Amino acid sequence: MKRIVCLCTLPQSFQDNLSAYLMDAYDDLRKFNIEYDIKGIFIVYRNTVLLVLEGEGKAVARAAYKTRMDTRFKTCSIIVNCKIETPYFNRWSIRLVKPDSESQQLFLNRLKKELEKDFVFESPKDRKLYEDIYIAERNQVPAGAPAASGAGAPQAQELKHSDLVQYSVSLSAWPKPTQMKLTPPAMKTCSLISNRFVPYQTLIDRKIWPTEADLEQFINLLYSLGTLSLKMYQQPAGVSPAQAEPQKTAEQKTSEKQDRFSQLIKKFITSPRSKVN
Amino acid sequence: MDRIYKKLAIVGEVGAGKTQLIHTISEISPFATEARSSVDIGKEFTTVGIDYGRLSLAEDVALGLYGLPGQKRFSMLWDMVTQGLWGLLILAKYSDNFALESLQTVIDHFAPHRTKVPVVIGISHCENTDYADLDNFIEYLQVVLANYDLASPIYPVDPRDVESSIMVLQLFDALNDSYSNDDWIESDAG
Repeated sequence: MKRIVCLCTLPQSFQDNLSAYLMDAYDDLRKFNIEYDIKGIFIVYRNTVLLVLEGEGKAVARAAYKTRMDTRFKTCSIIVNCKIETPYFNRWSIRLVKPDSESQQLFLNRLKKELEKDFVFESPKDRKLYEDIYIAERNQVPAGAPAASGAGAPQAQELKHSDLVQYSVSLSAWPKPTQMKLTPPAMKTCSLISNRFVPYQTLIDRKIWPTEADLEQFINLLYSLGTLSLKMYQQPAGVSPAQAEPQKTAEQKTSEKQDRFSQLIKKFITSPRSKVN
Repeated sequence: MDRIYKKLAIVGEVGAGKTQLIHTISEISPFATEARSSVDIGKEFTTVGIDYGRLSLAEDVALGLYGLPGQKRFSMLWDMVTQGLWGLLILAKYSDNFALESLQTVIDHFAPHRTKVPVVIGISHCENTDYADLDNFIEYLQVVLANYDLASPIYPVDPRDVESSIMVLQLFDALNDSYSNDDWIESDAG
């Protein structure tokens, strides 16, 4: 059994359509790896892809060769090429390095320990690329967000109410069902902040959660999962977030019919059994 | 008083559970366009047109449920439901061989990233899947959504189960509450 780790970079020219470009590369390899029973991971951080391939020797070598020949990658260096007794991975998966995700940080640190004894870096540039993936976990704190407690702190600092009210929050991906139970307040909050920045004060004012402490706890949970982005609330001159809210809701004011549909569907949802066949 | 009629489009590949989901939610017997499959797809009948179900919320308010085949060649059917769309549910059948292209085709066509139509991705047939595999599948789908700057809920759905199916409606309701749609009132197609 063999393990090959490739460190690849993507061309800057594809920056605008990077995700599509990456998915094509990942999907090609996914199909190949299913066919040849190769396990491992495809880790993406900005323009860098770290590829760990484990499986039968010839199959893994073919996958690595295929990757090196793949013109979607600008460069591809093999930084580990060794025999292994037992594979580290039991499936083929993809992971995006997200800022401040505690679970990812733990995962990456474990992986680093597993791999580092067999590293052979062809150039200092490769080493730097590799290390950047790990450094990213600590450095990619959103601009203006509270710093982690102490240099190199392994866990993101909990966001306090006094900090949060200064920020707008945005969700880049919904939490997975294995990460949390999706309650109605969680659904409402995630819906509101999906891919758009909403002042934290607005979330408080909407009274989605029974208490502010519940909201704070939920926001902290999203933050720890690495799916929440923060930015300093841009307060219009002379307007506090609390004052800004009515203005925003006025913009989004729904029609009476929309309200009616919404009320009726809510009524149905809360008493589904009486109506569903 | 104007009638209010909204549409929920349920798009998915063969065997994803579209017909079953409509059957679970609809108050009327779904109008199904199923035909005996000519190739082995793991079941005897498959949808070849639109499945239609309906949920009357009041005398003059209803939600139409439209089950649509996920293959690109049926995209002319997709166009029939784009007006007054309350939500787009993409049913993805859990599988190692899930066709990424089909998901991209549906998103490209409905363009929810531009129209702001709420999207939910329901993963079906994953009841016996272990958490790690499910997480991986979701991560895989999230990368596709990120390509469109979409952050949509991706959750397991059991189309046979009432609670699970109602949760889908609950998600769309929450998403619609957070969006503002001006063009959503339409005459009842029925």
